[in-house]
This record gives sequence, structure tokens and C-alpha cells, in this order.
Amino acid sequence: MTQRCDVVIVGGRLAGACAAVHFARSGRDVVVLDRSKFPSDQLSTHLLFPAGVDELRQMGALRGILAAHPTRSPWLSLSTNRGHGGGASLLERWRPAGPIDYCICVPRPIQDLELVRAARAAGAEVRERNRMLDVLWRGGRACGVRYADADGEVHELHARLVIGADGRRSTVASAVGAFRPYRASRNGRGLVFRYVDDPAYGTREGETIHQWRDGDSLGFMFPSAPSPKALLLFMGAADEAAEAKRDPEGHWARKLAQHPGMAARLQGCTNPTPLRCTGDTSAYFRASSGPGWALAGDAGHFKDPVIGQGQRDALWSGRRLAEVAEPVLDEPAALDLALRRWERERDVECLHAYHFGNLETAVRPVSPVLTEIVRRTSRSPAPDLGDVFGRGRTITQVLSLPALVTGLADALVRGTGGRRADTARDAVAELKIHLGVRRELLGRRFRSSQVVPGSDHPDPCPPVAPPSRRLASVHVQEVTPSGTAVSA
Amino acid sequence: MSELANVRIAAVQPALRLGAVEENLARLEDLIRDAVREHSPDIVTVPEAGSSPNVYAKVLRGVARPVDGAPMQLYRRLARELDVVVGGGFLARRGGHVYGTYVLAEPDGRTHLHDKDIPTMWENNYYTGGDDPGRTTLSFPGGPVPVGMACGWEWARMGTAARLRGQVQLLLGGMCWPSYPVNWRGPFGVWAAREHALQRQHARELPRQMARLLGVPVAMPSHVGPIDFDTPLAPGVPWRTLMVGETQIVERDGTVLARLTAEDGEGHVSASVALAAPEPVDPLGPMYWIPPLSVSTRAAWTAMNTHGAVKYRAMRALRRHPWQTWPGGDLPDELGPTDQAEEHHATTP
Repeated sequence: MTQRCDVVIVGGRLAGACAAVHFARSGRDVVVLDRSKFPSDQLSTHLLFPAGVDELRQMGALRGILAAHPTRSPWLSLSTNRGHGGGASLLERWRPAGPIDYCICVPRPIQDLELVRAARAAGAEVRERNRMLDVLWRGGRACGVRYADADGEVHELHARLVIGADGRRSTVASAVGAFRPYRASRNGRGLVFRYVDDPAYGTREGETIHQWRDGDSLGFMFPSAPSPKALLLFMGAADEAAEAKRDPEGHWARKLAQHPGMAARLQGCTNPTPLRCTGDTSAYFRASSGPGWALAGDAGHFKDPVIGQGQRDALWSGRRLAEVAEPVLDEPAALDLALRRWERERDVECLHAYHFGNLETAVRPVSPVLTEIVRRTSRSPAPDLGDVFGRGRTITQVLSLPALVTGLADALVRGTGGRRADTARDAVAELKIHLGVRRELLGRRFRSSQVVPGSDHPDPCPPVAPPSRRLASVHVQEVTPSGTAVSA
Repeated sequence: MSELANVRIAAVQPALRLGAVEENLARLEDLIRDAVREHSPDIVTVPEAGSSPNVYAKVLRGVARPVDGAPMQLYRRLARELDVVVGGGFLARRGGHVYGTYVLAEPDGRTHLHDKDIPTMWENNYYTGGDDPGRTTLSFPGGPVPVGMACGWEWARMGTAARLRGQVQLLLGGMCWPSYPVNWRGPFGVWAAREHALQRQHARELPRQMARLLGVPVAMPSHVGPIDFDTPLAPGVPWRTLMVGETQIVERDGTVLARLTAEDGEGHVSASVALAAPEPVDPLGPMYWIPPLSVSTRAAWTAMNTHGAVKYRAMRALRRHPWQTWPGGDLPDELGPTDQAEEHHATTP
């Protein structure tokens, strides 16, 4: 028997669950297929800035997540080259997003289970351990999926819209021919992380997102869940991920020596978990909309995790997709156009963060200009520099041209970063990149494949496509104006 | 390709509904699948304007689709799945314009695009002309075959023959040919009836004329069926007519191997043709049109082309075309082989 629904979503985590909630709330019949059984883990930075937490609130998952007692972190601490001389640091609050003025960092098994629960509570049907096999087509449009249920039995599910929210190695992206990114940028940094128990839990120090920038390495500490857990991350050069696999504790000790401020903060932390790491984080944009299909979250766009924006953008893209597509779900031509517009809106929303990630993933010493901007910003605890992470403002707004020029002037006056001639030369090179980014952002071109020198890094290694299957040999014949039936 | 290699071509003659793009594409899918089942061809083609017949009607403003939209997806996916070359047309947004694009999609993902050079009469309201030569190369097991593509009245112009003569071993493409009104009365009715008969005659003779001018086999799938639309430059005057049909597959010497007339209605035919170096039978002439079009038709061509082109440009300048609100993007005319997971999508370079 042919199954039908309005929307089938492959992948039930951030983007998928969020889209499911908003479609279902509009009265649409939504089926979510996910190959996992929840709770289920996922490699992730885990961090949600206020805008991301607000997305959880809007989709109704926040209450359940807060029940796991994650630490709410309303503060950002950022240090550059402290302990190395000539450094600066700031402590500021996050700019509120809606009623939310704090970050949370919740392990994915806890968080994603609540996302699925929220989707179900909204009326979506979430089928766990169901694996999508192929996309069905009719008249050049995606019209459903073929999938295997938990028992391995194969079914067909027809829908007006097929959404791939199944991550970087998306099977939907593969089935719709969109797996190869039209634009990608190599990551420069690896990700090495572990959890510890933080004795500073409950204090302001324990409710602060820490970021240490020392030399060419980045260290982070995110208060997590359940308290007093905290997530510790190092983002050094990409090849450090391999080093961490070979010699986990040796690598950890070396990184702590590189970040003395972080080492001091971790005094007294206990119960460290084993290290996990990855270097496979090339950023990319895929064509994310087509006739009857869309790719949300990491399936359509991924950026370097160094800036911790992936979760928020996945939730945002799922919500906006539902808001844009739902009103025209019954009109195929209007739906396809709405999906294309949604894709452009996503690009506008994410392109500046993509460039921010590209700039951050470049392994180079802390810029003296940034150090001076941090120093100036540190005069007030009001939200400012953190906006670039919290998405209160874009990187071009936070690191405005006046701010960059002032930072350069301060660096030259103070002699931050050593020889002034080197500082000026590096700053001019950096300014060129920023101007290139601004030029592209102003262009607002659809699926722009033009690279911005200095931001887009060559030789990317985007995910490898899963093996091809033959296209569906099933011919779908229209039997009613509102639905379709299958004939052999 | 070896001399006199044979390929089997199936040509589909559809009866499509004005403006009903998604319905028409689904119908084309059925017809293509049916043609492949019945004829086991190497190539199956449907007419130009496969997304909707091209006539003068407001609904035509909404039939253009992104170049990588549903029509392209249909042709490319069927080519891959059915393991045949699939040809078909649609109005495609490519970059900053809409074109009358014809697609030849190969099973390995190779895709070749041709934009009709001069939109015919009222078609100028909805799209503009392309400037590619209408030549490409199809990859057959026996080797590459140079192929020409022609849409609509490109088939009817001596310039097209001159452009392709000696360059191709096969001519593909399609036709969308609505005739003169059959609902007019009085002197206008008499005049229109005479023109209607002439149009049917031209459509019948055209494929074999082009085959002999080029000295290569041709396959010309055409629209069929009744159609109603508005009369250009005469608001409120209904134009009820029919698509002239005349889907034909013709050998290099002008022998008609397979044919569907207007009376045959919707369907498909096939024939095997030999591919070899071109051997033109008839000389190129100095005239603009291959068939001797009537004075009325020539006058209508000039007047409607001007009217349509001016209106298209004015609306574009005012950003009144619905497709101008879409995010843009384009594809090159020649797309290489791809894995199924990595198809081409329109981008902005």
C-alpha cells in the first residue's frame, strides 16, 4: 500500500526536527525518517549561542533540554596571547536573542532526544531506525522516498516535499544529484575535545564561555550538561587531530602548555573523558533546492566548526524552510520557487559566517589588530565582539572598517605583534580579504561559485559521495489531482 | 563513428495543455517511457516547449523554469534511468534572460543545450534568442557523432541549413507549430482557412526539405492537438486552432521513415537511420525561408517579432517578468559526464 504525507524529512536532528515541528504546527502531515535510534550521539561542537537557544525555544524543545540542567552561560571571556606578553582579554555578556541571553552546550544524545520529542509533540511522526534508500521522481520533481524500516522491509512514501536533513554525507543530496558542492573551502584546523567536571560550576567563572587564542592555536571551554560537566576543545592545525589520535594525553599536555590561561582555568577539573577528534571539516555549499526537494542543515551547507555556528544555522534553516514552503506546499511551481528563494535566504544568512569560519580556520598567529580590538572592547561588559559568534551582528559589522583601522593604529602605537612594518603589511593583507568578503556579501549572487582570495582556501576535501544507486525503476502515475499512485 | 552506423530514434508527438507545466512534464514522462518500452530506441525526443505549448497567452509568462529545474531534471533523469539519449525543450531561465532551450541528455550525465536563435512571432514576448551554433557531439558506443539541434522555425530557415550543413550527421530538436485560426468567420475566416492549409503543407514538407539540404537524417517531434489563445495586437479576439503535428523521422535522402499527422493525435513513432558523413542532396538557396511562406505569414512574422521583442525588453527593464524575481544562475551549454550523485546545478560564476 502506498503511504502518503505532505512532507517527508530524512534526518531527525537539528534541521530535520526543527522543520518537522514548524510544518506540523501548521497542520501538515509530516513524517521524519532517521536511521538512528535516539538517544544517539553525533560529532559536534555542541555549542548554542543565544540565537540558537532561541530557536530551541521557538520549536518547543528548550524546556526539555533545560530539564537536563545544562549550565546557562551569559558571559564570554576572550583572551589573546595572555601569558605570552602583549595580550588582551575581555569579558562581556551575550546580546539577547528574543528572551534568551545565554549559551548552552548540551551533549547531542541529550539534546537530539529532546528535538525528536518536540517534533512528536508538535504532531510529526518520527520513525527511528528507518533508512532512506532512494528518492522517487515524477515529471522531473521529487515526489517521495523509498526507505527500509527497522525490520529491513522496503516501503514507498509519497510526499509533496522531500527534505534532506541528513548531515554532511547526506543520502538525499546524493539521490538528487547535489552531493558535489559547487563551492568548498579547505579547513585548516582540527577539532580535539573531551569533557571534564568543572569545580567552578555555579560561579560566574563557571557560567562563562571561554576562548583562548595563543599563537596559532585556539582553546575553548564550554560549560555543559549535566552540570558540572564542561566541554574542552582545542583547535590547532588540522594535522593535530592525527597527533591526538596517536598520543592523546601527550597532545593534551602540549596544548595546555601552549594555552597557559586555559591550563590555569582547568585547575581542579576532574573526571576527564577520552579525547575525540576530527580533521574532516571542510566547509561547503551544495545546491540545496530543486523541484520538490530541499537540503537543510549540514546536508546543504557546512562551515568550519571553529566558529560554532553549525547548530544554530541548522535550526534556523529548518524553521525558515517550513515557514517559506508551507503556504505553497500544494502548488508545485510556487513551491519550487519558494525553495529556491529559501536557498538564497540561507546563503545570505550564512555567507558571512562561512567567511568568518574560513578566516578563523586559517592557522596563523593572533592578529595584533584583533588583540587591540579586544583591548578596546574590553572597556565595557556590554555585548560587542561576541556578536560575531552570537549572530547579533555579522563579521563585517563587528569588524567594521573603522574598527580595523583603529585596531591597526593602536597596534602600531603600542608595538603589538613585534615589528611595525610586519604588522602594517599583515594588516593590509587582512584588509584586502575583508574588502573581498564585503564585495561578495553586497553582490548577493545566487550560488556564487566565485572564490574570495584569502578567505576561500584551495584544495578542499568535502565529504565523499556514497556509492551511486541506479535510479528508481518505479514509474509513478498520477491518479488523482492530489495524489499519486505507483505502478510497476 | 563507423560509416553507416545505425541508431534507432523514437519521436514523441504530445498533446499538451497550455500553461500546465507540471502536468505536461508528467505526461511527457509517460510518453517517453512508453516510447522506450515499445521501440527500444537509442534516442527519444520530444518537441521544443515541452513544458507548455508556445502561443500568445498571459499564462505563458509563468511557464519558464530554472535551467536546472523540473524539465531539465526530467530529461536527464530519464536518460540515465532508461539508458537512452533523451531530447526535449522548455523555456529556461539562464542567467538574466529566458531562452527557448532544447536539451539533449545522455545516459552518463552528459548534457547539451541549445537556445533557439530567433523566437517565432509571439514567442518574443516570453523569451529571447540565443547565439550558440546548435551543434554538439553525442557519445555512442561506436564513437562520437556530430549532431545538430533546431527548434521551431529554425527548421524552416535556410540560415539554419547553412549553419549545420557539412557539420553534423544527424539533426534533432523539435517543433511547436500552432496554425492560423479556424474559428474566424467571413472574409477573415476564408483567408485564415487558406493560410491554415498552407501551414499544414509547410509542416508536412519541412523535415524532408531540411534532410535533403543537410544530407543527414532528421527527427522532428511536434506538438499536436487543439489549442486556444489570444490574438496578438488584437485584444479580445480568440485564436482557436490546432497544433499541426507532422512528427517525422526522415532519411538523408528525404525518405519519410516514420510520421504522425495531426489526425493521428498523440503518440510516438520510431525508425532506424544510418549515420554517416553528410551527403546533401539539394543546394542551399539564397532565400531566407525554406518553404515559400505566404505574404501574410511574412508580414505577421515581422510585426509580431517586433511587438514581442519590444514588449519583452520593456518588461525586463521594468522587472515585470515573473522570473526576474527568482534567484538566477546558469549552466554552460556543454555539461560533461557526471555521477548520479553529482549532477550539475545552476550557479553564478
